[in-house]
Amino acid sequence: MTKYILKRLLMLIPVMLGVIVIVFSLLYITPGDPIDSLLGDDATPEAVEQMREQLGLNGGYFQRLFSYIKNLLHGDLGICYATKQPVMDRLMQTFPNSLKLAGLAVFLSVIIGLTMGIISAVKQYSIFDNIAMALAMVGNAMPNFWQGLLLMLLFALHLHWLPATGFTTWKHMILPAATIGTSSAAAIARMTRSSMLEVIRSDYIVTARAKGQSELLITVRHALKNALIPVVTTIGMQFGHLLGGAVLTESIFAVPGVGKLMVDAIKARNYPVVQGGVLMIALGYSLVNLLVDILYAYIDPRIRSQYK
Amino acid sequence: MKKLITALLMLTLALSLTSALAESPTTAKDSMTIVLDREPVSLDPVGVYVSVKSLVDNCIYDTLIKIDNDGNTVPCLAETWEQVDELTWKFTLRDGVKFHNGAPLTTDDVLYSLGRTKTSSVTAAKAAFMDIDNSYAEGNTIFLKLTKPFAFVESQLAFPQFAIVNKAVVEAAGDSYGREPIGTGPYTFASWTAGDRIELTRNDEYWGSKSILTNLTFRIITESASRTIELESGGVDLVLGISSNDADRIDENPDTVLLTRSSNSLRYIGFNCSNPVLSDVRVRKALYHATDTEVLREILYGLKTSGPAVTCLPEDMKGLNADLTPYSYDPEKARELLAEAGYADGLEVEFMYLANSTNNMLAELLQALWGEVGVTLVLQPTESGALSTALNKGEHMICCAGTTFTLGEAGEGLNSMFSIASQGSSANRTYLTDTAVDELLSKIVVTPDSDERAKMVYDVQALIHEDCPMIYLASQYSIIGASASLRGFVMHPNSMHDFTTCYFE
Amino acid sequence: MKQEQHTPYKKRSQMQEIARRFVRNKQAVVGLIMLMILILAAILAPVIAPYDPLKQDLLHRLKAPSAEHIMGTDELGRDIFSRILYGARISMTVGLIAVSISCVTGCVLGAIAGYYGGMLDNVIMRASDILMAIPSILLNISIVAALGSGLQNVMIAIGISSIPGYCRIMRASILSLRDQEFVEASRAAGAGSFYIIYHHILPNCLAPLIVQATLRIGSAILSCASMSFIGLGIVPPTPEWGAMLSSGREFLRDAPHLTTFPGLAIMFAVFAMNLMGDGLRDALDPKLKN
Repeated sequence: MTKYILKRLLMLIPVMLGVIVIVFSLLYITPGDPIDSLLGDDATPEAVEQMREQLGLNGGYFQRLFSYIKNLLHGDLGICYATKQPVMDRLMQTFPNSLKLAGLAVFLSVIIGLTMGIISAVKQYSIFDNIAMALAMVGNAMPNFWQGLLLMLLFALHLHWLPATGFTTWKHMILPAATIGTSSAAAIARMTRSSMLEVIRSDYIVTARAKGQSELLITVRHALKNALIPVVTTIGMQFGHLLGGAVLTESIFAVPGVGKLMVDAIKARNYPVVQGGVLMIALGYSLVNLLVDILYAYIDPRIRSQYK
Repeated sequence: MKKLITALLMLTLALSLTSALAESPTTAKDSMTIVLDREPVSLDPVGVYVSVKSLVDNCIYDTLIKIDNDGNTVPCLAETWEQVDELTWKFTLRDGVKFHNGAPLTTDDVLYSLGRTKTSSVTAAKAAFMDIDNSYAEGNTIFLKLTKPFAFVESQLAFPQFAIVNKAVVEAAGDSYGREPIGTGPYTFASWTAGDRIELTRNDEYWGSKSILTNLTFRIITESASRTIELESGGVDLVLGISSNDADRIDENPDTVLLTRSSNSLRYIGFNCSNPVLSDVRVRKALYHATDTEVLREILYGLKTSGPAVTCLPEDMKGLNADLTPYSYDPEKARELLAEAGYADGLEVEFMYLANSTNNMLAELLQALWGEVGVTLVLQPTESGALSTALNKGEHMICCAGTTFTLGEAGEGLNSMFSIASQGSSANRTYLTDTAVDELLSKIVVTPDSDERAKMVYDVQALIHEDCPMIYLASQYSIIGASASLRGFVMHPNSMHDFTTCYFE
Repeated sequence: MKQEQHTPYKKRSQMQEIARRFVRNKQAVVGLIMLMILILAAILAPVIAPYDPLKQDLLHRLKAPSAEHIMGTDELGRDIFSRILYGARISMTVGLIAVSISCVTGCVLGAIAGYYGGMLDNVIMRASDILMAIPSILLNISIVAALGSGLQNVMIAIGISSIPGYCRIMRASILSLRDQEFVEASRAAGAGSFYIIYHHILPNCLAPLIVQATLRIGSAILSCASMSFIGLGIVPPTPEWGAMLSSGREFLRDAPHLTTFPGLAIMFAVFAMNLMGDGLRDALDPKLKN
């Protein structure tokens, strides 16, 4: 197992290197110049030249790429062009918010998704099943920012239950988490339902039932446990992508998250922040998925033997 | 199933109970939350100008001279000032002014602050009129030397980029100063949560009239629909940058009030006069005649939330030439002019603009309007990063832009919009090369006498009008939504609002 | 001669079996009907649409739904119903082309990786890991920022960011098929790699690919809407649903129909694709029938 984890961690190195090269290359060919937003209208050509030199923007493609990687190896992500703070600080201001948001969204979607999925499976073809699955479909099909605005109108403006924007207390987190969690909840609900149905029909559940175990016990102990694997996969995928992918929700609810930081940085051509941010997000995504793979082994001993 | 429903009901009940508790009436509100539509990058005065930054800077810092709510220059850190000769100004500093860290304000700090505006690459061009090396202090009086005669010394020094900082603090802080500013202003910087909020507290040692409220919170909400909803749901007290589409709603809501004031801003469609097609003034005039500016203004900026623009100066601006005849909406004339210019069979032009919903509407409207006179408009919606670079290089044919006369001085603004030297900067998108205009503008900026200047400003508008480098769309208002319980707030002409007089009822 | 007759007969019966299972699945049929409606709307837009989707009528802006304009008019007085109909063309195009880009590229790469294995496999799979690790919305934004906005570039961006999914499916299918007897037999008979992949492996891993592609069309339409929100979408005045929804949000309060109808249209399309995808999954994979 340890060997497997080590191997996976080693494999991260080329992947992260690839992320750096791809992001760097994309930014390199993107039109636009960071100097424009840094120096404003009245900068003299000399000042522009000096600033370019200072930011290392004058080198060629390989020179700039290598110097970035060299600094990275020394643990230096660079300095944010705009605020002059280390990129690491900039990311640390926003990453915790995105983590909290993603965490709460995944938590909510697991609770709701699992509950809906289990009940749907147990009461297959009941009204609840039909409604739940229809809701899951709707949740998957609704454009995020529209849903967010509608939730805000309903819960913040009309019902006054929750604050509209911001990210200071747990109450502020509910609406954005619900917005991004809906599609995960829907995915988890559908996944749970279908894998539960498969398991419920299998022989050992029939045996357990024949042995006279209560329906609840069967559901929890046997069926649910085996249905967990696809669910855990979904959680891993969703969590990873929520880290930097909740851009629209963050804009709507004014959440100072890493996704919004990234989009603003891309627009301002704030290269170090974009590169550092995407690198961190990619690393987070890969680590979460490694964790998910390890979790499999604990849920299902059969898989453990495959890890060499 | 039943249990689940019961559980859900309980949860709902619990939620509504907690929110009911949270809404218990608060006693004498002593803090105010103001919403900004974007985040300032730094609170170092010499940073890139954005209106939200100047607003916050203005709370933390003082300048030597200030512009009051009626647009007059009034004393601030300088108690008195006068022009000694053509190249010398004399400022006598106020006694007993202290920085937020307790250090007294010295003439050294003032000279250092003004010197910084010359060394910062952002402000260097604006500060070029000062000769800091030969300026000096005597007692608490500063003699500011100029490099050349300059007409706008007072209004330039009143601009927040020329605010006074503490030399020792700035030098010690280095690059991080912009995130931990210290000034002499009515509010002390308390904290900054990146992407979310900036908090200020009242400066109890302030030399002037102290703030009534103890705390100011600036929150950043970039999405305009969210800003309006936040104001209406009562989460914030003042929102800067209300969309004109929401203006009526804010106005009619008994819990909120709508405030508008002309903000010295002009929205326009700029022709790149250095472009081979558009260098022909007949083409430019034809396109102007093909544009129904009144309809555009009504739809895009709202009749109540913008003013008409008949010349290159925004409405209410001192020196506006009201005698010019605006180019009328006259498609027939447009067709004639195009035919004269050799485009009887049609013409294709490109329109480059920042992709947002208002501009998209403008683009679609122009496409329809100009289509009627045989002009095909190719749309190039561009994202901000690429746009400014392209515009600065003059790669556009036609663009849409806005310019704000930040100093409230017509001459200064026109100079940065139409002088040949300003080509390639964000104020000059038309690349107009007219030596008569250029000559007159360069005279205006060195003429201290305001009447004489006004005469030339009047003349130069006529020349520019004849050149037709842009289609004037509207004088944009600054649109503010406020809670109905807010009192004592007055809008500043240059959007440098003063919050010290605000309180709640 | 005998063999030639035999093969199509067998194929038909398999197809028939799939079709039979598909038709018995109520959800799938509903999905199919919805999809047919969409396709009809797209094809017949010029016939059905009561107005020109680009014709502005500034005197009748933001009008609520009425007998004259059944979905009301938008911020420039254009008929929303007509725009939705024409928008079906755009959204279907975006979905199909973006998915084709990712499907073809992903399959080729996945097939190479799975069939040849070794170093090539390693390189391709790491490359796919790289694309997976960057959130697709950020990747889309970066690609469109680099290439410039417009329908074509948006499709390319969405296409590129969903390559890894197909790549993985294809590779997994090939790995499970590569060493099976009928493939080995063909190889022994001297068939080339391309022949084997095309004639033996591809037909056998079509099922998961079709399912994935169908589901992906829906998410491509949603991604396109997100791009419009950020201001990197299609060039106006193209009546694209995402752009309509995104520009309508300025009028969310006073004229909600500007967002409701494009929003519902997007949901309708995504819903149809998801139902179809699920139905196809069940029909193509008898193991999961329930």
